[in-house]
Amino acid sequence: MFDKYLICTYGFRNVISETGAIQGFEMKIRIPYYRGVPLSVIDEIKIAAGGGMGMEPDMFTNDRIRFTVSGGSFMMAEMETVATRRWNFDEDATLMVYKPGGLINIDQQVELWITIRAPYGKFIGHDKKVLSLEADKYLAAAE
Amino acid sequence: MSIIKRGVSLYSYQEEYFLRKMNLEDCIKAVADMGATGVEIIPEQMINEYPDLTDTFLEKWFGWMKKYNVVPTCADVFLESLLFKNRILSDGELVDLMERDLKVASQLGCFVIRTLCTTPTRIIERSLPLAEKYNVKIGLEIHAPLNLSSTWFEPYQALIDKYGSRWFGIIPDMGIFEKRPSRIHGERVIRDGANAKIVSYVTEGYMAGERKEVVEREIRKMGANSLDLGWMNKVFRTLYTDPQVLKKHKDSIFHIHAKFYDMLEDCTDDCLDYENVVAVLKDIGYNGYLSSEYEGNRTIQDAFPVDSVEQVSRQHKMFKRLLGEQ
Repeated sequence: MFDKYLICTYGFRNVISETGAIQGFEMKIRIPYYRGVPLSVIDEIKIAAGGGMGMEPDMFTNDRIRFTVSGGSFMMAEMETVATRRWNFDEDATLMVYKPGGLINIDQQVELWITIRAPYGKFIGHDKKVLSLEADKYLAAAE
Repeated sequence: MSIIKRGVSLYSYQEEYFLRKMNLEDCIKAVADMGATGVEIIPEQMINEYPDLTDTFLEKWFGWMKKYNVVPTCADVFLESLLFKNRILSDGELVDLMERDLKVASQLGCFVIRTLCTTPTRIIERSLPLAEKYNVKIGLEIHAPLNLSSTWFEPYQALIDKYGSRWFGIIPDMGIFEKRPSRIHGERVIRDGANAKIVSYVTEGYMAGERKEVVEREIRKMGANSLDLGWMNKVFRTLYTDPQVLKKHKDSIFHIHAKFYDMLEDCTDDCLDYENVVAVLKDIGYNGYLSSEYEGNRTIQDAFPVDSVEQVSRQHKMFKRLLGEQ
């Protein structure tokens, strides 16, 4: 449910780290479920991006994804034990996908699957959209 | 005029809330605009502070109750037993979560929490003293495909037999009184790739009382794909409970989830048996709420704009008619 809104059409951009290297890309998602959840029940996220012009897309899974909401920022593996912070029903989550060099083509087909572990079964959200890279995001240098 | 009251679960407005077209106050106002009085809420849907409600929020909440002349009814909660991927929560932890949710419901002024049909009886039993402590009842949602008359319900009935129905009772969801599949479900499965001819063949076969094996054989000959077979499985799982069954449970019905998928323009529901269920509720002297739960948005949102306010408003016109309200 709410799958058509899963991938946000804004907030898609390459991310440049403090050292000046392109560390990957960022995108925003909404929750494909009718309530907010504790972060620990977000089982798995898979993203396909970076294909096109005859090339197969890359697949990115939990180990390369950082999940950020107002309640905190965690790598997916860390998030398995985050029970006291939530992804709210009305909130964008920002995903940082670590891919050195980032995405090259401005227009990208991005496909995403996300699994949420509810008490009565797993909910899978799925969406596929063509997004255009916005201006690069520069991470502030550490103080 | 009936003593049965009209309310809305704000769940009904989830599409507009999700899309940030309506906020919590807008949802409450929409309830009041129809002359309904009961406000049901899923705290995890529309209260970001959950589970730590602040005084600031509660002041706003009760301010809205007063401003719009409505009252809190039920808080729908989710016992997060699979909070962690490596284990199911222990009984003690589950009872702690029940207490947390009873407290939230009490802070909101709700008289009952909806607990899911996956909540074990032993957890409910240990939570009864907490229900009394917080003065909030525990209502087990009776939700399709689970059947009030089947063995699944027996341990819960045993709990009611043992303790009475002061703190534990049931919340029937109207989805258990489904006469025929809703047209929007059939239309959606076709948009998703099922064959229109097979979809109507299945629906007609079910309504004519055909056996599932016979229908399956036929549609396989017609070249059924996985979506066609999925539709067949769904239709043959349709649950129609005889509304008379409610009479047996009249002392333990705390609240009604007035589930619906699609109200027609003439304000009738051709899928769920509201006529007969409301008649029985009147008969048994039910004086609680019919609390609207519009659930059609997820079925039509792929192809159509959703107007939950209009849908709920049509259902309340139907309620007014069935309840003899002017």
